[in-house]
Amino acid sequence: MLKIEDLKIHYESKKGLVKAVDRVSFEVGEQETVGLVGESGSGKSTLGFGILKILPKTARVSGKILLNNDDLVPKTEKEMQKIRGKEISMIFQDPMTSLNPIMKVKDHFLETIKTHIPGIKEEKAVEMTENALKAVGINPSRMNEYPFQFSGGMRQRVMIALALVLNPKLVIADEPTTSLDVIVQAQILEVLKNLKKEFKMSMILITHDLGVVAEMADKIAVMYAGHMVEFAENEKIYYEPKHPYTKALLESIPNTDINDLTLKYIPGSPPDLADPPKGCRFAPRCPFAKDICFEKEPPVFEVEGSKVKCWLYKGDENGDG
Amino acid sequence: MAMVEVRNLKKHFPVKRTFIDAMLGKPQLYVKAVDGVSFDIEEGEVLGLVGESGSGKTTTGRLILRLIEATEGSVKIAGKDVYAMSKEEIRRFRKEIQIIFQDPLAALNPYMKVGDAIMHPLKIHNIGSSDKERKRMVYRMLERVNLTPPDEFYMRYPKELSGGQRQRVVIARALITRPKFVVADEAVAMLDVSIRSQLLKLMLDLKNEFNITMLFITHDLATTKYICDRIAVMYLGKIVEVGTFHHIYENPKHPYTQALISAVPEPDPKKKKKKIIPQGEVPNPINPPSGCRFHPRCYKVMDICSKKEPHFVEVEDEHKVSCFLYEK
Repeated sequence: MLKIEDLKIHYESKKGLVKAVDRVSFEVGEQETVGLVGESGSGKSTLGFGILKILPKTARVSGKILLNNDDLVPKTEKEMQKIRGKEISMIFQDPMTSLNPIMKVKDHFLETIKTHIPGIKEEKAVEMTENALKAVGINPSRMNEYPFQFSGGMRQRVMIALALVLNPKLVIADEPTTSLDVIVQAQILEVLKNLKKEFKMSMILITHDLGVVAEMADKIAVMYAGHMVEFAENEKIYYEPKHPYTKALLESIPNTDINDLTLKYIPGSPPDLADPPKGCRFAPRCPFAKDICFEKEPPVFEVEGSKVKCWLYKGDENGDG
Repeated sequence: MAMVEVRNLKKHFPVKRTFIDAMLGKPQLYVKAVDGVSFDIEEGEVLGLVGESGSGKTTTGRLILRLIEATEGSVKIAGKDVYAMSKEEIRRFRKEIQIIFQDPLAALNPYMKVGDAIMHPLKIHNIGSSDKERKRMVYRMLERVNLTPPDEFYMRYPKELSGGQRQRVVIARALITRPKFVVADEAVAMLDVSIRSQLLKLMLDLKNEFNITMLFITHDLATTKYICDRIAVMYLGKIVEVGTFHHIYENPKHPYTQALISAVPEPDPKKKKKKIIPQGEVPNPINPPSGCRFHPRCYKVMDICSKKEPHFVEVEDEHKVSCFLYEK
């Protein structure tokens, strides 16, 4: 239902063009959840915001964002407003900064509903609000309260209800549980899982936490320094990672196996995106880097059903290596 | 004798009362952030203090270093009673006790060169005979935390460094006075996973090299395994369970510890853990639940739990839990 083709999001800055997202392609199917995983500065959030075209003015977007074959890239701001919230909605990381502190919870909902369904009756809109709040486990009587009267976890539930009130086809969740404690996080993930089924929606889950996507996602896209280095089914990423970065990232997560006490890490740090390495952006930190990796950017190879942007798989296409 | 001895430590922060409330004779309320915490840390040992936001773990760390004053209780470090010291004595003693903060950007002065920031504690404590010697010590420390070449890093400002490099500076500054005891408060929490392990490795190496005793405060149970000898789990101002990583991870006894462990998302899609997720959220510490503070959310709650406070029971060697399920 959502198809991204060769998407580039570059920012103009004093240091030059920052290639925050560079030539990224992937798809999200009906009722599918795609996890967008990467570290800070990998471009995962930029990509998420880019799909909804909520980017700073300095951003330059090229490529295609096809929502049911309708390209969003050339759309005007006015046209995008009709899509946001209704077709695609977003759950933000920090509900305290994305909810208006002097607006009652109810008014957030009414505003959203009335914008997209002009002329809707007040009672109908309130009823929709009640149903959305119930769906995330909040007593609808609390809709007359202000955001500060809710705890962190409850506020995030409000955000989720607000994102779902118009029954969008696709929800983009940007680090929805990152600022929450681990038990509250587990509660919210449970809510999201149930809603996904109930509302039959697709989801893009942006996170740095490989544990969260393991539980939630059908497919996973791994981002590094603006590139999508690997895209594959959930289990393939965890059990047969192909890209050296994916492998290293998985190894560096503290696991819960108490007999494994070796600390593994990736030496070095991610590159400056205003001046990224010429070839593969991971090459300077990659233990398998060859000469070509420093010279030419690798294309995306299809290996055993995974998409991998790495020279190691040249000639390995379709799993014959 | 243990390097650090904490006994019945309490911190009750007064809640702001309006003038009118005071006139009306409304009682002064307190947030019981830390409410009777006791533990020992042996020399060279690392104790992990784990808990969610509001559990009181950060306050406990600060109380031990007397960065804030305790309401009640005592702390002895290397045999010295921290709360019996005068202002001047504790100031001098700070050479031996240091803290590594979570957010290096907030902990470093943006207008101070990295080298000067690391040299600062040396000057305060009159370590080294001249600036030249102090500079040599800073260079050595920069090299030790892998900020090389040191002369280049010495001249940089915090904003010119990456997050991981900044945290190395904070570590270097905390360790340059060769402290005996260090509180690491979420020292790696803000770093990306590929960088986090680098820093953990560095802290572990330095701890062994300098024979540091450490209180490692974190919300992330998984990182404790690499660095901590023992772990204490905190909930709402109290310690509910103490044990080795093996005890806590393989055989958690307190229902809260069990919930905490089961809630950690496993980076392995096939490992579908059975989750014990308590309902609701951590209650208000102004008016904590009676008896065991976890009882309103506990899946194994009994009648007694709301009536009496549980005592610590040793369930196996070095593994203690404060829960009525194990009291005989």
